[in-house]
Amino acid sequence: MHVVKTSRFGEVRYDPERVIRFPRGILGFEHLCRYILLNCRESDRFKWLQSVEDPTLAFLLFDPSPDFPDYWPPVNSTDLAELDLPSLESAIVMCIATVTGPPSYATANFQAPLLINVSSRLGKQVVTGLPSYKTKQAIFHSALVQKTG
Amino acid sequence: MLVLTRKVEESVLIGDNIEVKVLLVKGSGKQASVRLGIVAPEGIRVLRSEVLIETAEENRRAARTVAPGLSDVEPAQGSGKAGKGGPEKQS
Repeated sequence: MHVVKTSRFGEVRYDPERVIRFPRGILGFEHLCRYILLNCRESDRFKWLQSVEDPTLAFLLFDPSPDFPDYWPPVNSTDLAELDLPSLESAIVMCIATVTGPPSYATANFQAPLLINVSSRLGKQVVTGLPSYKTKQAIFHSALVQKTG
Repeated sequence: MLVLTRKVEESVLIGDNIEVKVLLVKGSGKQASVRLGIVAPEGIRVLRSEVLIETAEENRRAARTVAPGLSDVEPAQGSGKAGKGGPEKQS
């Protein structure tokens, strides 16, 4: 097992076989390619994508499907081939969330979702460019509101 | 950058199967705009270039996310649970 001393979660032990590789990195962070997926015990709508190369970098991921059942990003054959995916149904599709203020202002990038193939451990951000999907789609979830006491 | 001049209805070919055609030119000077028609295979995405910049900016904003109510985490897939036999290696 390896360890990454993350800034948000303290020490996280992980199996290096579970590292997910983003061959193209993530836009804005192209030099970082290796991440682990962390489940949130508080909510299964959210996961974190934690960099194992930069302990301060993690992206909060939001699962759009329960609230947005028609969300179907236009993924093409190149996207699927790059991730060794037989179809979009075999992928995890999640949107990068931005929560930098009050939870009621939380947004997620529906225009450029992350596509992850868990079995091949490959991922990419698919920049769809579709104006009908927002870069800052308002999301709200009770898990974003920290419980006090 | 390869620079070519095209008139309306003229096109450029990129590789074996991409075509960019000038359909319309509107206005003049700094306000001028060009309508382009693009033919490309299904597996090649065509994007306005600003979209990549906007995505990078939004990713950088997202990297500053603070969500203390979501900090009880565990690696996905339960890889640390039963399944792999033998003692854990000391790192």
